[in-house]
Amino acid sequence: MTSSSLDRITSYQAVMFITNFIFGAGILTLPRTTTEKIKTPDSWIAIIVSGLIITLVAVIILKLCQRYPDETFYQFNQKLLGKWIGSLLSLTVICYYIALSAYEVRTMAETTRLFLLQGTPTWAIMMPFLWIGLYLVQGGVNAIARLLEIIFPISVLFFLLVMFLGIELFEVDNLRPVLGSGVKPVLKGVTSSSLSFAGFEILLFIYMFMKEKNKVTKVPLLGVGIPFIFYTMTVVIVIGSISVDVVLSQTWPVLTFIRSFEITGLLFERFDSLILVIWIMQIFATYVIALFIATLGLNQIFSKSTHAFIYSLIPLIYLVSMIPKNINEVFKMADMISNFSLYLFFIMPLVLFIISKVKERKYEKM
Amino acid sequence: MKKCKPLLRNSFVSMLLLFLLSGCWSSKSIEDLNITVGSAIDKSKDGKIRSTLQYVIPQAIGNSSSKSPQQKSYTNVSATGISLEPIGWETTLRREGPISGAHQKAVIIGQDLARDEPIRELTDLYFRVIDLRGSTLIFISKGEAARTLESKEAGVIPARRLVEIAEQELTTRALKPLPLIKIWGKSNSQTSFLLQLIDLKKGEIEFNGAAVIKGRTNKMIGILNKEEIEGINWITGEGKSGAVKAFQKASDKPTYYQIESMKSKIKPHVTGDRISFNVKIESEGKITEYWNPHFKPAFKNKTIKHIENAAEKEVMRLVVNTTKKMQKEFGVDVGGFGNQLRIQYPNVWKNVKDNWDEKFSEIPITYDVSITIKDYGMIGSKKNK
Amino acid sequence: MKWRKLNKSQMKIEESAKKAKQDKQPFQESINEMTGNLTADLNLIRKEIGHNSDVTFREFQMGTTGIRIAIIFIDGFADADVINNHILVDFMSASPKETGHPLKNSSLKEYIKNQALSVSGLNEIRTLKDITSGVMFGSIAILVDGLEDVFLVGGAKVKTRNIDEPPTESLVRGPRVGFIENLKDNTALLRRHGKDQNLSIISSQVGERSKKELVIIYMKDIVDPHLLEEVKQRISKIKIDDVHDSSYIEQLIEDNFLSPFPQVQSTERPDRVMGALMEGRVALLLDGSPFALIVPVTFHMLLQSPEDYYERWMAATLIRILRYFSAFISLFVPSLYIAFISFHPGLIPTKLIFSIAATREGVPFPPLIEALIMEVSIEVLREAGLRLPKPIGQSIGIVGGLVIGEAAVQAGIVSPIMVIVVAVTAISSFTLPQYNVGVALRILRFASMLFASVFGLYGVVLFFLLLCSHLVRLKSFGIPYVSPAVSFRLSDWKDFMIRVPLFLMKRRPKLLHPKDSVRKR
Repeated sequence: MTSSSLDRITSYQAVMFITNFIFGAGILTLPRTTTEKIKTPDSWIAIIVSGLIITLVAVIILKLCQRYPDETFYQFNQKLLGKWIGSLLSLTVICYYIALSAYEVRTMAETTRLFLLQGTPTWAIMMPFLWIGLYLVQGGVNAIARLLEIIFPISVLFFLLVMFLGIELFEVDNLRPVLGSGVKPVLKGVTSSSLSFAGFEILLFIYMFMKEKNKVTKVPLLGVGIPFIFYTMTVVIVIGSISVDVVLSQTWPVLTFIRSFEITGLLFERFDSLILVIWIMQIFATYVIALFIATLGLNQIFSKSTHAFIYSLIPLIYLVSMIPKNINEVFKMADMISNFSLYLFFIMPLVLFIISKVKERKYEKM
Repeated sequence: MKKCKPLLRNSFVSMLLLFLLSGCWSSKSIEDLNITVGSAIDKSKDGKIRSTLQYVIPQAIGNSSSKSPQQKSYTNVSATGISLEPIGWETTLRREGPISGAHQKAVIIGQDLARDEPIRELTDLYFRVIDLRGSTLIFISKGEAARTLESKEAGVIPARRLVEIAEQELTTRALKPLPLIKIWGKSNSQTSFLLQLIDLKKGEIEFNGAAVIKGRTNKMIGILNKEEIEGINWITGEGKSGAVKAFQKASDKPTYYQIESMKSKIKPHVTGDRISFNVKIESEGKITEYWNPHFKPAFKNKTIKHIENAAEKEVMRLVVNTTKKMQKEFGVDVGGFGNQLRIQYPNVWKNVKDNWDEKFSEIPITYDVSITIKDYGMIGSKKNK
Repeated sequence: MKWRKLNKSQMKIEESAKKAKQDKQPFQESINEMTGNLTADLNLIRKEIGHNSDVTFREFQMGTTGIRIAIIFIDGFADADVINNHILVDFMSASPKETGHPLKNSSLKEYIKNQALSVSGLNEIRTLKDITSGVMFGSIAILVDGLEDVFLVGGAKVKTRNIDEPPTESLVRGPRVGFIENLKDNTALLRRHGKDQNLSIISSQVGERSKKELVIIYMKDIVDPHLLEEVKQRISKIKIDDVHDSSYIEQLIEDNFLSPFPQVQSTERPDRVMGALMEGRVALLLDGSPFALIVPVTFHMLLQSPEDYYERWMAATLIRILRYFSAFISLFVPSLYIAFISFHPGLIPTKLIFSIAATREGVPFPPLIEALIMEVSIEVLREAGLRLPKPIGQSIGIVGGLVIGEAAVQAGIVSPIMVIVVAVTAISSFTLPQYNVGVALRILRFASMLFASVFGLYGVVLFFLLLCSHLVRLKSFGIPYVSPAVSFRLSDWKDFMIRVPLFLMKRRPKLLHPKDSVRKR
């Protein structure tokens, strides 16, 4: 797919890219992962703090991208770092995205096997999922953007609706006292809650495809802002309903919360499997975007435009996703990926930004 | 058409894949399922656990023409083992079809067992297995738990009746139902709590009191009677409706106050090392029965004040009585005092939380009760001729 | 981009074909031109088309002059009124003024053209090919002895049916006019709709042999020129011997033949065509077909009905939402039912699960087979009802629906709830205003049932994702098939699920890139 005039996305679609990429399998464990280090009900404050930090980083990424409006990260890092280091960095990023999509697919398969299809083999759950992703990615950035626009409102509205159906379990007492043990534990949790926002870096890759490039500051703001509000709400409701003690002990706290209430008089009584099924669409979105970015990278590094890369990536992703032997190793994989993203996308854009500034100065002097 | 080729190939391969997958690994026929609605756990004679599962027989409930009037709408299957999981498998040797626990809503634990084994362990399976609902209710049975799953009435499923009674929350003489997930939270934080106690009266179930579960051991240590449950409900302010006796002297005839709303506020006070609690209880309601012909008509405010006072005194008696029982007899906090201390004095709480139940039994608690009668129904005065 | 590439290769082929034609033509024409000798010419024509029983040759003399004249026409096809009341009468009673000179060549031709013949359309032709094709199209050829030119008069007089309410798209409120088989009448219907001089009707021919007339209709100052170019190119690509109906055109110009979704809208309603033209879309009308084609089309447009604009906006909005809802039902309800009862009985309310389990007791098939039995039999019934004459068709419906359904339940082959599910599904698919969308959803329903029976709810979601992936990739003439749902554009959403009051719809839908975007000031 060349970047013809057809392959442009609107600012709204760019927001969708960021938001959908941040959402993913992570939200199902979000209340636990953010609370693990804090151990008080204050993890929502940590989310707010880290949300603000992330917004800042995202804006810096945007500024970086605005220097190279017609190139993706894969292309302009070679200008900043030289061909070899740049290519190496790009390959690292591609590996990261392959690992990420493998993780997403695996988590999807694990939760599905646990909640929906006990007894169905993992490969059978993964295969059609991978295939559909392959089919979609062949459609290019526009098709993906449109799909994101379709699944975002469905999944998010459904999720919110179900969250609010469980409001009768909510007790403010579970969230109190606010900052009962001071600010210290909250600060400890900021790193881990920042990692839940990993995915905002997608801007590095999709900025090139954007149609209107003048008024784009709202893109990172909205793109991070939507998950930010959403995360805060999820953490507040889940911890408020099932208390910190339970959250820390549960494998999938969000699903535990949804499992613990039932509404009679509707078409459904329970919503846990239902919400999981809806959220699978979000996981699909994350997986597809990661796959797309990885293929985009391969295409741009090797300056080729073929579907061959996608076909070769699918079995690779499958193999990587089968590496963890049990759920603990899946969680370990998640930790590794998110720690890696910390270096890759929190620190690296800052470095690149500084390098680009320095280079600019040099040119000015000359 | 070059571009259509991958699409063709994809769709072909995925279709092939689909047909290969005709296994349908996880599908189960709904009519073959043994849908459990409740289970009872007892101590068997040889010291093991005996679990009884209640299955529904759908044909007996559905209005299909094959229904015969004598048919019971449930069947109980029990087996013995050292824990619940092997027992479950044991029952499948005796009755066809897989067990589906997705509609189970009640677990009844026999008193003997609850006093011996921690609740958390007994119900671990229910927390862990995803099929089971987080909203499952746990009851303690005074006698043998399995017998509470039986009923002589036709068309009644005892486990469902149990849950429906619990969920209606009609009177302050029963506990507010505590879903499984909250029990898990309390067990984890070693908080003491109450579980609804059920009893048998003429072969049918009756809600009668509450089992006190001690936080530290997570085992049952005693029983509160219905009146003491009323006291608990007044302290926590969680009742929705119910009646309060509103006469003092024995010579007076029955007068009853009906609760429309109740609120309570537990306020901890800490001065130095001394902790004390003040509980403010407020309630609004109406007079529903008034048998005293020699009393003045309700059209007069003085009369209403009089009845309010009587009701307040009665509530005071209830809560003080319950507090005494909590502090002196069992030495546990099941009224949520500790929680308020945790919220309002987190630093104090850190020091006392490890042996809170012991500390609690010495803490002075004061009560303020205020009751407001807003209405007295259709009759304002009583003709005494 | 696919079509562009193709187009180049297509053009090459066309060029080579042209060359071949040019090589042949001179040779043929030298032989087949008329000589002016009536007997010889007639023999020539007879040899070419005289074997047809319906080709009639009539020879007579022109009034007083004694010049021999022959007319050739197809009996029953050519306008008999023109022959009897004009040609025969005019020529037989012709009495040119005596000028002294006998009428010859040019003066004879001028006389016939200017004084004798009283018909409006008159063509002069020479070649045999033109004559035969003219006659075959229903014109009347007039050969005059001594003239090399042949006059071609009049057109076919085809029996057409009256303009009626279209049976496939009836409305409660709105004009009761539908297209008929005659192209001239159809274009006239559109012209009559309004006096907009920008309404352009461009003619072209399709069918190598049958040479049917196909017109491209658009609003000159609204339509996106790229779109128009695209349509013209795709039509020029059509190389087929005959097109029986506009559906041939539809299938030959659509984007993706593997998609179950129709990518061209077909309608019998002139008002719908006009509405589409006003949005900047292009319509195609084929002679002999009452179905106009409209391109491009999006999924949303296929769920619209002209009535959405004739009703007041609140009712229209509600009906639209209802339509989307019933599209959802007809696509997903059987699969959701299968998923729930065979994979996730825990999600259904407890009371409902008991009654479902009770009704399914004794049914020997798994839910998928049960659903397939019912779905297939309902498809069979529908097909049977469609092909039979109306009164019988109805009774088939009643017998099938009521008797078989009831009996199947009684016999314990299917459960009553499945009958309800299938019936609701079938009825909802009837609410869709376009028949071919209903068909597409019917096909997809079976696919979604398969997915559901293998993977339960997860399968339904997979199917949904697959469907969405397909839809977002699909384009109709460069317009994304899923717009205006996505890409989100607030101004286009005014006419999406919600149909805002007319006074708020000030702009034409942007997704079609109209040249003149203002609808109302």
